[in-house]
Amino acid sequence: MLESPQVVFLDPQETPREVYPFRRVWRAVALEIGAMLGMVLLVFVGVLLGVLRDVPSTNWGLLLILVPLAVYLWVSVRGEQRAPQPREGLLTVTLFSALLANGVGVPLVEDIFQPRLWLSEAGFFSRVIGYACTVGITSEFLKFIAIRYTVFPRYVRVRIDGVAYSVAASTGYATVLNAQLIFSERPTVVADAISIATTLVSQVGVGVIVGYFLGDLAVRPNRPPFFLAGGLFTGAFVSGLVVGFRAIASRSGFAVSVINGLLVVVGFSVAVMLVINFLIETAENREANQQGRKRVR
Amino acid sequence: MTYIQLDESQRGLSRSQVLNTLFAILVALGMMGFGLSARSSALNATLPFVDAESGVRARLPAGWLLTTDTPAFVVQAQDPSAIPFKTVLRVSLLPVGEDSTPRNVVDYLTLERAGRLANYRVLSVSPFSFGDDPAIELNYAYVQDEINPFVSAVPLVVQGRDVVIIREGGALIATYLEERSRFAANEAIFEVFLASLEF
Repeated sequence: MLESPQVVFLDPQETPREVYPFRRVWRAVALEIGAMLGMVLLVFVGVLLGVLRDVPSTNWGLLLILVPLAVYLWVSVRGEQRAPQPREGLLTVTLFSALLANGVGVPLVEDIFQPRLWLSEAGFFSRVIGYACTVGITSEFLKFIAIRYTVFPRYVRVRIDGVAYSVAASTGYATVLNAQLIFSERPTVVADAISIATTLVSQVGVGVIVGYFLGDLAVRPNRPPFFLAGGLFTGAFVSGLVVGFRAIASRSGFAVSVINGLLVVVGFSVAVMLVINFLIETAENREANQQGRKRVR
Repeated sequence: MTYIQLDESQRGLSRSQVLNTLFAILVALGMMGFGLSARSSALNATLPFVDAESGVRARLPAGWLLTTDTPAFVVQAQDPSAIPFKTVLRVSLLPVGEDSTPRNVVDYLTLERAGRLANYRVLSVSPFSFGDDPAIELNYAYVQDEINPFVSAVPLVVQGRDVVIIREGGALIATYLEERSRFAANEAIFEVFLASLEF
């Protein structure tokens, strides 16, 4: 007796698709910068519609300080927890950086360097060099310390990790600077919003430079001895440039406009991030080609 | 919870990474040192001042506004960036008799200012050494009010220090005026000025 042939259905063969295992850092940074601009816009609109009064208010200042911190916690820290291979110690870096800013950075700048006394009326080049060697190097060095003595090099697996940790350190540092601004100078609500956004964006934008150098040093441990020092110097110098150009932008036109300063800071930060991204991509592609492997994007 | 080890030996740092850290710290400290030096140069920079007619020579802070075309004093320097009171360094000459003492000049200044300055109070009068010349130091305070009554401003308490030196029929008065809360902090500027003063 002949048996009818059994039809067997084979499952279609699926090509396993490699998933990018880390949280997308640039996307998160773009969201954080966008949120800052959105915050400024909302405050402006609120004042225009009469919902907010543009007067000095510590309560509003405190609320506005929490916005960048909340955005960072939501976008970066929570996003990290959902990634297949999360980066560890992000909050530790943020807290350590904030402690360093409060305990060392602010007293050092305000009580010892006192840039307002001698740089506020200085010319462009004096201002750039002066701020680079005081405010710039202090902030970049302390952020470097916050990363170097917590997560480096154990948790820095790829170059972009250095950038991710630098954003964490910059957020902690900027939060302390903003708190100091709110409690010491008592600006109005609109000025609060612009200053908070400017501080955060400039700290993050400049901080990614040291982050890149740290990330690269973790991946390629045999870099020349002055590699990291070069990164620190570059970060401090760019920080001085940002202050110099921000002053020019703020004073251009017929009146002092801090919003121009914010736009300059955003432009600078985006430019720095594009350069850093280019350097990371180039290095990663080159290494992937040398090792004959395909990069997961 | 993530525990992060701070023990360096367990992290397997390469020699290059350790050297990089060391050089980064050195560069940071070097840049901060340069920043401090630049600050010191900017804040303590002085320029020479010479008045051939009176023979007064001194070093005055760079960037301060100088006034010399007034008969009341030889030179007056004011810090334009000081808020709310423009810090003053001043040198004035007063003709005196041959047997005058610094104390006579101090008494004259006290009487003259009591009628001109609001709430003028002498805080202390003490001997002072200025080379071989007899000198005296006068500390005082007064209230400076806004002249324009439509400007809402709290009156300032100004503290002053005069050093009076008698030489060859003339009295030289070196004056330092500053808002009370900043008087002690900026007194070093006056000390530097006084150390450079010749006449």
